[in-house]
Amino acid sequence: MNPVWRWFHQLGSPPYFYRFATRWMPWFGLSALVLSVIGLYLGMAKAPADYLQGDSFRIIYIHVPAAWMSMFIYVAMAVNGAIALIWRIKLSELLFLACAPIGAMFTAVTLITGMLWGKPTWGAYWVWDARLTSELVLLFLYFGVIGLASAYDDVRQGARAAAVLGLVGVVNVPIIHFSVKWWNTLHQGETIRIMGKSSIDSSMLWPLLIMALATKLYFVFALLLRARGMLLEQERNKQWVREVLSPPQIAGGRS
Amino acid sequence: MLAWLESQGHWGFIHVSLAITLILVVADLLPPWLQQRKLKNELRARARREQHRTN
Repeated sequence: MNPVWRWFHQLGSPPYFYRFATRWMPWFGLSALVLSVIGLYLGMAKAPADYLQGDSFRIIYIHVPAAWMSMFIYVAMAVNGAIALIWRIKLSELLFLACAPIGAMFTAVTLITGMLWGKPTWGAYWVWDARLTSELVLLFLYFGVIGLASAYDDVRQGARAAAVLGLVGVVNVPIIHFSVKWWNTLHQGETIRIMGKSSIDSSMLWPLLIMALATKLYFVFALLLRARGMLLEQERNKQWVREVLSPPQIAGGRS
Repeated sequence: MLAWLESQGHWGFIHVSLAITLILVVADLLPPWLQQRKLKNELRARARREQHRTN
């Protein structure tokens, strides 16, 4: 079997996932913290002020990576939801559930920092613009997934029911992304392009890319933390949990 | 409160953005971390009790 496939299959095993998460979580957390400090320092202290927006543009270093993550996490959540529905893999159900609060947090950060950027730039905290409204819908979708999943006593059943809502809500992600192209919105258009030249100077772009990487690493850290906790709760009566948590002298009854 | 914020200029908006983000990140991480710590302690105590019983 291909080593990547084998690793992927191994990751589906709860004890393997628990050990993997415990081992790698600190590294993801620490790298996210270090990169956030570097990115914020470069963005807040080193990048020049925007000629039109002045210093308020620096909110970009929180707002834009958070907005990217709000959509990225939704897609990651939906993929796990689909796997949970099709193959009924327990770990995918947990990852699906773990994604929702992290995604909701990033969406809330996006909306709040967007409002705080909007006031000095547009003169209003909120406008019912296509981009802002579709992002607000995303927050409600996350709340819907969290609410629906917790309405069930059985975690696995709740995860599968919420996965259906999660999958339906995926349609909102391209709407958010293309809203600035499809409608005449107050929100500015694309500044950073993967294909083609970005309309932002590299002195402003680099801190943004560092922050984007930091938020990705934070997501993996928070996801592993939440999924590990849920796994422990679900498998609390299993022998492997006893083994990984117990000191060596009592692990599995060994002396 | 909003009038105060607006009187602080651009950096006021930036500082509030940073503060709210920090609060939301802590609110995202703290509950699962505390819950997990509590659960681990509970499970360890149970394992110890079972060990005493078998001894």
